[in-house]
Amino acid sequence: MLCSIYKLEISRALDSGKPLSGLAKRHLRRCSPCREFARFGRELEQRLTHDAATLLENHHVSLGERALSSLGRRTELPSIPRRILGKPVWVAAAVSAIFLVAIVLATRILFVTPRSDQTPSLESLLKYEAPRVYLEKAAQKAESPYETEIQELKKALGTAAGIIEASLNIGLGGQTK
Amino acid sequence: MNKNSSAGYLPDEELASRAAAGSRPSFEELVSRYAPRLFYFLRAKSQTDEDIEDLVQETFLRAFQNINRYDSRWKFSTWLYTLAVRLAISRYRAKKTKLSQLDPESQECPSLGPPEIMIEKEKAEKHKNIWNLAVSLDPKQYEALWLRYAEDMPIKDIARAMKKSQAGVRVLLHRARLNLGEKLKVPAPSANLAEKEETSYALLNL
Repeated sequence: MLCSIYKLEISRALDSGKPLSGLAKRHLRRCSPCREFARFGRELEQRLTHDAATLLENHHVSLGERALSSLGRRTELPSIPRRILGKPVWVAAAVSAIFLVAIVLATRILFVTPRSDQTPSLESLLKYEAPRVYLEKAAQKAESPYETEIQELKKALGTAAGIIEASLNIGLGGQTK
Repeated sequence: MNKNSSAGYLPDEELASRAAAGSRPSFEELVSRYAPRLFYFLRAKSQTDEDIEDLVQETFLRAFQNINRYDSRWKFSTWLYTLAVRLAISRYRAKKTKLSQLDPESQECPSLGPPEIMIEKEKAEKHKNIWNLAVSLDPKQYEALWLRYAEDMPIKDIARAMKKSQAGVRVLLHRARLNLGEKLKVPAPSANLAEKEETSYALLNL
């Protein structure tokens, strides 16, 4: 049971390159299988590295050539980096749109047609316009056929609420006169 | 590994950047560097050399199509192996589904008849190189071992390539060591009777 834990620690030490803890070292002194595993782990590392190099050195190059010829058949490298057609297109489009809007606004602000002498000024027009608007609103209000009726209904409702409030001795949330 | 130290040697990441800018020779150089490495990396998941070669070619095609997405902050090898792992998984799944649709019993391991025994013997001959023995490990354990020792990748990069946690990769490596140890275990040639009970890890050619 404990050996499996110590073997795991040995493996971790091999992976990290850090030394074993004092506890693990003490265990190794007593435990032959764990000592064997530690030795095996170190030897295995060397062996795996060495044999991988041997494999790759002895490997014939035709695989790379076949891969390349397959690639050549199936596609061609793009002359223009695909980045232009990829995700950054969104950024480019957004920047162009903002730029266009900015140009249009700037043009309108900078190149707005100046007012000629014959054109009446805006201030004088507003002077006449404002009272006219108030008058129109007042007239509309006065002419409204329902306005008096609404006012009367409001009064009646207020009175009814007052009576109910007084008789039941509760607050209805309305204004009491 | 196998990296030429001459002045003209360009790192993989530089070659990948050039390939992304449209340089075909740069991509070809990457292919020649990585084709055998991918071949040995992928062989735990495939049964025949043809399958592995197809997978290697498919990986390069995918790399070629997506070279502009390669982030040069990461090692090129990590990126390439990530692509290879993904492709291998998807192909493995597709194959498994196809096999189960064709014949539900085909997934079972067939009994070793005389020709199979001969093949096994041939394989044993090949065990002079430990990777030929390691290929019989669980594919994930084999891949972790390859990335760690053939590619000299740190655990962090292996975890990224294999889409696993760092702790998961450590466990895979540990199990690979234990299983390889089991495969290499032979009775110790000791005169002492008590020691004969023990077994030792006899590494071939060491």
